This record gives sequence, structure tokens and C-alpha cells, in this order.
Amino acid sequence: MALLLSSSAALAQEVPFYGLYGTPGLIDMPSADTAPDATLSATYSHFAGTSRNTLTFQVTPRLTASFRYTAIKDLYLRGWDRDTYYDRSFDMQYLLVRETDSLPAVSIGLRDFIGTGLYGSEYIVASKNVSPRLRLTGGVGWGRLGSYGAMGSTGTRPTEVIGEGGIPTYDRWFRGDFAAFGGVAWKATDQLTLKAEYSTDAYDTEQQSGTNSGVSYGPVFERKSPWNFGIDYRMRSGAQLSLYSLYGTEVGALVTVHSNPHRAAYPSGSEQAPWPVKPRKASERADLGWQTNTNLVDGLPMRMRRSLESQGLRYEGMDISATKATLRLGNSRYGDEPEAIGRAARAMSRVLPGSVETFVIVPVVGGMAMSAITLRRSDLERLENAPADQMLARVKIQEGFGQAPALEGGIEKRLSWGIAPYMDLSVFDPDNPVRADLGIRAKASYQISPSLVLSGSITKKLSGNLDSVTREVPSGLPRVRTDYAEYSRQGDPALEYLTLAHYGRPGKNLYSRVTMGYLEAMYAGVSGEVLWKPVGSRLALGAELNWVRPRDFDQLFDLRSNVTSSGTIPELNGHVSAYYDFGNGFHGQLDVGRYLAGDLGATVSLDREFANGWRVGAYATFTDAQIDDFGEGSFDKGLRLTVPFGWAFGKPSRNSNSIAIQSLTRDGGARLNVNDRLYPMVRDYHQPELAKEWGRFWR
Amino acid sequence: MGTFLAMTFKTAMKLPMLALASALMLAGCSNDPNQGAVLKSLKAEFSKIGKKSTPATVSKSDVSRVLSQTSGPVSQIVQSNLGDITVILVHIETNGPYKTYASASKQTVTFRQGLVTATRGLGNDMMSAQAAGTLSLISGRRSGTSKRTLRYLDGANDVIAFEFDCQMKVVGSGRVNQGVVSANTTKMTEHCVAPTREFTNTYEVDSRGMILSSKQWVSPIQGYFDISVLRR
Repeated sequence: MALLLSSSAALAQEVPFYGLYGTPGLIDMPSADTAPDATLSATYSHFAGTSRNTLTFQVTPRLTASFRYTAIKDLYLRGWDRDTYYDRSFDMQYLLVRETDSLPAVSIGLRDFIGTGLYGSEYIVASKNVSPRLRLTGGVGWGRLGSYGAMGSTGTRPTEVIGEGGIPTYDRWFRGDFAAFGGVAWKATDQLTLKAEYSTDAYDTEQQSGTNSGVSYGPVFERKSPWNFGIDYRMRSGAQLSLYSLYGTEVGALVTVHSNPHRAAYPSGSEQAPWPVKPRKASERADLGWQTNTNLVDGLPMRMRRSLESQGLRYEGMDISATKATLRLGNSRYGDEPEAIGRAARAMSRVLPGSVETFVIVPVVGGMAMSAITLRRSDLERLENAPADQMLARVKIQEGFGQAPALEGGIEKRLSWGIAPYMDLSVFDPDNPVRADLGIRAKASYQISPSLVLSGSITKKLSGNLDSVTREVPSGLPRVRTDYAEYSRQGDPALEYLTLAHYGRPGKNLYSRVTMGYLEAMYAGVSGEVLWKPVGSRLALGAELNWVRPRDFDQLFDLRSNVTSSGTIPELNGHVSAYYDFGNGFHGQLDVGRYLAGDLGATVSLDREFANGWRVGAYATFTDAQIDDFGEGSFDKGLRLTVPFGWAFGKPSRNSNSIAIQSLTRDGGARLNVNDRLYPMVRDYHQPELAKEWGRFWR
Repeated sequence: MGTFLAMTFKTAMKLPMLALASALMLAGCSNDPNQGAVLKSLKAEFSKIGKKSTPATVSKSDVSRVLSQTSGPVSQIVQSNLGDITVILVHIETNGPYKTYASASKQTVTFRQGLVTATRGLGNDMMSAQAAGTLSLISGRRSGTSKRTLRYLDGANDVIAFEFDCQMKVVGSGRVNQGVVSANTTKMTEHCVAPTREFTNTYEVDSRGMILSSKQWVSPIQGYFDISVLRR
């Protein structure tokens, strides 16, 4: 994924410098800077046995959020008897005041504000350029940032961890000692910046030493001075390399790379040009004589089909009258659906007789008519060289129910298959923070009818260490997910899924799915779903009901008992869901229902979405499972990131790469992972999604 | 007929990305033709690594072959910013005043009076242009000022419009002899400025207001094209 991201084109100089925490900052201290909206930055920093890997996302122009995974060698913590201590942390920073000629930029921030709070601190910081080359930063910090040279105190800072960790440490924020930090950055050349800072982090925890199980630990390093110095080097791509002198005793280094969905290596893509619109002569528009020319009429479907197939689109059928043609269209190439619609419309303008003025395109997925998009041929001719929004204003996007022409001449390509290597990653296990399996995956699907699909996937492991998980995962709930190591150990080869899925349109605005068989690695059963989504609506509602039995650990055809060491896995689970597109680039989802372990609750998700398919989001699940039954982390939460191949490679594709950064896998708030849920399939061909990507209609 | 150099980006950045992509995709196989599009582009990128892209030279005989094998209008483009890649384009469609030309590798350029108003298939394509003022100065072969809007897509598929203020100057007269075209021309230069971009185009315009030979700025990545009309 990091490599996918590196395909981003060069970012201009407007990205600020990042510090050891992988957030905009001086060296170890934060600054008030923000990156351009939607910048995603990955930072690796290292000093004194401390490695920090940080992902930082500019969520809005003012809000910055970071996720960090830290490894500290030789840290002494009471009861900790391992060589390396691993810790995850989340930060947020909000820009309160934008920098002007007279005012500095002012930001407020929380570091490591969820969980154990190893790096817990809060600050208010101001940054200002006093000359084009000299930038000053100063701030006040609490927690770690108030641990050296304290000027005063605001109450007492609690030290106990709330619950089982994983809960915002609100009881500590801006409490306890506070201290003033600051520094300067001097831009020597366009590439080189020199920095000096005064750090108010005493690194108290790192200074401690002691003995656990007979082995002595700590101190991690010796802190002799509050002064840090650094050199930042900026590459043309925007990437940053830094070298530091830290705390009078240590040397540190950092590398940061940036990516932004707005900047692609191939802006607009470089796929083959579409055929242009073929304008009609005035005489052709009124000529109805073609209708009696049976050769011509009979040849239209074949010509239409060839034209579409040459562009990777699928011709599925067409109804044609003197003035109107309705096309049933399949699209497995273009991730940006308006491009598929636009290409189909231009193909129609080149093939259909001149009197056909109205084009209706009905995109069909899994036999479901997704929408009916009506275009006037004279608008296509007139607006081909105009801005795309003029065409959008003339297009009607309507309900597709009952609008699709019948499937013509059977399904040409029933079977699709693929064999490819795969990699399964497991991260954050304290015994071994990155585990992976490499292997071969074979997938196939067979379309029995337009709406009935049989599909399956088999994996064979070649090498890996996912099965080496030895950590006992305690759970007070039925073990619905925490036996994952056993599945990995025994599932080789594994039948990932083998399902029969049926899709349908039970009525206006309604979509349905029934999937049965081996639904996912751990469960078999039946999953049914209904979705209500009017074609022009920002809101969709759905309901899903699943009847499941746990699969045998070998992931072949057997089931196992649903009685586990800590409870019985219920057969029924399901959710009602609401999906809402806020229209400002944010999308929300609320799922309320019964989870796999029988716990009742809700999942809240919020994603920042981009018209190219990029998505960056977070979710949290709250259920009635007791926090001690859930275990470490208190409740399920995570981050997710999707990068579309089309953006990365500049060629149209409906594939993308997603990663999820989940808190520890636990049994509470776990959902069934059934394939091809309805909402993502449906919304692609609906408003407001089509309008967002409409700039690609003329591609 | 050659291929436009459709994109440029640093080999250093290509390598790690391609290594990953290759590990996950090149080793795979499938009966899905759409898997092919991404695969092909990856393979093409791979083959470029380590090689300095050699300009596709189009010889005089190539030009005369295209001219003899086709009957319609033909133009030639040299991508001066991208290593002098030369491409021959043939006319494929007319929509009102807009004429679309295509290369052998299915990339297109749309012109109005010889002024580029759109490109497709190159990467960082010009999606559309509003250039009425410029075109009327070219038609009349007059000096003057005009406004020009050029539209592109950014990486997130958002439409980016650059609004240029342009200054056209007639600088003299000339003559072109290229392909089967020879004509007396008026030489014009146009300097256009937008808040974040600027460019200077040069045109040789015939007596009917058609640009026969020009250097035109197309997009931030594509830079300037040297365009010659070989047959009207």
C-alpha cells in the first residue's frame, strides 16, 4: 500500500516539515502547521532505540489526524519483560487561527489521546514566519510536553488507565504541569532547512531503569539537554529527510513521504481516447426510412456490441424505436462510471440511425438495473466540446426499475477466473508486530443467470508465519473471531468462500441479495439483505439478516460446533443500516443490530471520500458486551484507507487496494464478512455519486 | 506513426511501486480482459525502466507514406518538452468547428482553426477550452487581448479550470512548406498568464485564419507541442 501511495506525483513546496512524531512539527515538538487538504503522509523516525511509524491525514483544511505505531527497545515498565515495547497512539490537531501578515497560525492538539497514553500530551502552539526564510514556533504543553521546566500547574493529572484502555483519556487533558516549548526553522536554501528547538519532554519513562523477571531494563537513553538541532532536506517530490542531534546525547533521523488524492502521477488517466461523437446531418435527423431496411435494423445490435466491446464495455441488449434507443450496459472496466456512460453514449451516436434522438442507458450489475440515464443525442453533439457540467445539467438520471431491455442472446462470458499471489498481513501483535502469509489464490465465478452467481476462492499458503501466533487471547464472549490463529494454522489449503448469490429488484427503489454457502473463512450459512435507495437520494437504508454456523478450522467443507470455551455462538445476527452522503466529501454509515457473538449495539463509520475512489475513514463499534469481557482495547475501532488502481496506474480499473488498521481482533462488535453487499454496488450508478465523477463523462 | 509519450514520472518512484504491483499482479493470470489494461500499462512501464526514452523519429518517408495512404487532413506533432517525440495524426471526425485527429495508438487531439481545444489519451489531458477571443484574433490576424479558459482533471477527478489573460501580437509575415501544404502566413505570438501558469504560443496563420504551423502549450505535464498541418 505504501508503494501504491508513492505513485503520487510530486507535491509542491506547500507541505510543512514533519517532526519525529510524524506530524507537522519542529523536531520533537509540534508546530501549528497544516498540510494541504487531504494530504496523507507516512513517516518513519528513529532515535535512541525508539522507532515511530506514523500515518498522518489532513482530514479537513484545519483538522489533522495521526495514527502511530511505536517500538521502544529496552524500556523499563513494571511487569513488562520483553525486549521491545510496542505502542499505538492517535493524535489530533486543529488549526484555530490561520496565519496572516500580522497573526501567527495557532493550533490546539492532543497526542496519544486514546488508550494507555504513553505519549499522552496536549498543547496549544503558534507558528509564524517573521521573514520569508525564518519561522518561529512557540507553545505551551501538558502531559509529556509539560514534564520538563514546568511553569505552573492546572490541577492533578490522573495516571490510571480508563477501562481496558482504548478509551479517550479525557480525564487527563490539559491537567497537571505545563511548560513552554519553542524553536526556530531557518530555510537556508529551497532544499535545506536548519532547526533548533527547546524540548519540554523530560522523557521520564525512558529514563527509568529496573529489573523484570531477573532481566534489567532501561534507561532507553540519557537525556542531558533540552536542546535539539536538525537539518531537514526536502526532495523535489516533497519527501523529507532529516538528521537530528537530540537531547545532548543522541542522533536521530526521519523520512517522510506525502501523497494526495488530488495529485496523481497520471492526472486524467492515459487510457485510449474515446471515439468522438458523430454528429448527424439535418437530413438524417428526419429520415425514418432505415426502419424498413431489415439488413440495417438486424445489424444494429452487432455493430453496437462491437463498438462497446472495443472499449471494454459489455453490450447486454437494446430496445430501439424510431426516435428512442434503450441500451442495457455492463461495465467491468471503468471505475469512474460516467466515463462508461459517456463512452456508451458516443458509441450510440456513431451506430444508431439519425432519427433516434433519445438515448437511455441502463447500467446493469448482477442482473439489477441500477438506474436509467437519459441523454438527448442533440445535446451530445452540441456539448462535446463544452465543460462537462453542461452535459450533466441536460441528463436525466432516473430509477432503473423495469427499464432494462431483456438480456440478449444469453450471457456471452459466464465464467471468469483468476489466479494470483496474495499476501495476508497481521499487524500489532506485541510478540511480532508484523506477520504475513504469502501464497497463491485461485478465484472463479460463474454466472448461472444474469442475477444468479456461483463464486469461490481457494488459497494455498507458500510461506509465512501467521500460524505462529501463540498469544492466548482471553475473551469473555463466545469465541467468534479470536480463534483466528487456529484457522490460519489449519487452513492450508483453505476454501475462502464458496457461495451462490442471487440479486434482485423486488420493487421500486429496492434492491435485494441472498447469499448462501461458505460465506467467509469462519462462517457458513445464509445471508439476506434488502436495500432502499432512491436514485437521487443521499440517504439509503438497508437491512441484513444472517443465519450462520462456524466453519471447521481447516476451512474445507465441514462445520464445527457453535459451542466455544467462553459461550455459544448464536445462529442469527444482523443489522439495519443507514447510509448518508453529507455532500461535502464526507460519508457516514450507522449499523445497528446484533453482532456475531450475540452482543447488541451499533457501528458508526465516517469516511472522507474523493471522486476518484480514494477513501480515508474511521469506525467504532459500541455494543452491550461488558468491557472486561471484550478485553484489551475496550471496544472495536479502526481506520481504513482505499486507494483505487485507476488513480495509481492511470488506466481505468474497477479494482482498488484497501487496508484496515483495526484495534486488536476481539469477539465483541464483530460482523460477518459476506462478499458483495449491496450499497457499494448500487450507489456507483446513483446520484450524488455520478455527479461527483461527471468530469470524466467526456473521457 | 508514433505514440505520444503519455506520461512522465521519475524512475526512482516507479521502481518500488512496480515491484509491488508486479509481485501482486504480473505473476497472476486471469480470463478477465480488463485485468489486462492495468497489466499492460505496468509491463510497458517496466520495459521503459533503465532505458532513456528514445524519441520516435518519423522520417520523411513515413510522412509521405501516411500522406499517400490516406486522403484526409494530416498533421504532425512534436512533443518538444518530452524528448521530441513525433506523432502523425489523421483527421477522424468533425463536429461543427471542431476537428478531431487521432494517432495510430488511439490518442486524439481536437482543434478549432488549428488551435488545440482538447486532447485524450495522453495523460493530463486538456478536457475542453473556451478560446473564442483568441480565435477571433487569429481569424482577423489582429493584435489584441483575450481571455482563455483551459480545463483539466486533477488526480481526484475534480475539474480544474485555468483562466488566462492573453495578449496577441502580429509579428510579421512568413511562409510554410510542409507536407503538401505551402502558403504565405502571418506570424503571431500570444502570451497568456493565469495566477499559477503562463505560456507563450506562436502561430503561422494562413489567409483564411487557419493555423498551419504553431507552438502551443497544451498542459502542465505535456508542455508545448510543435504542430504542423501536413495536408489541410
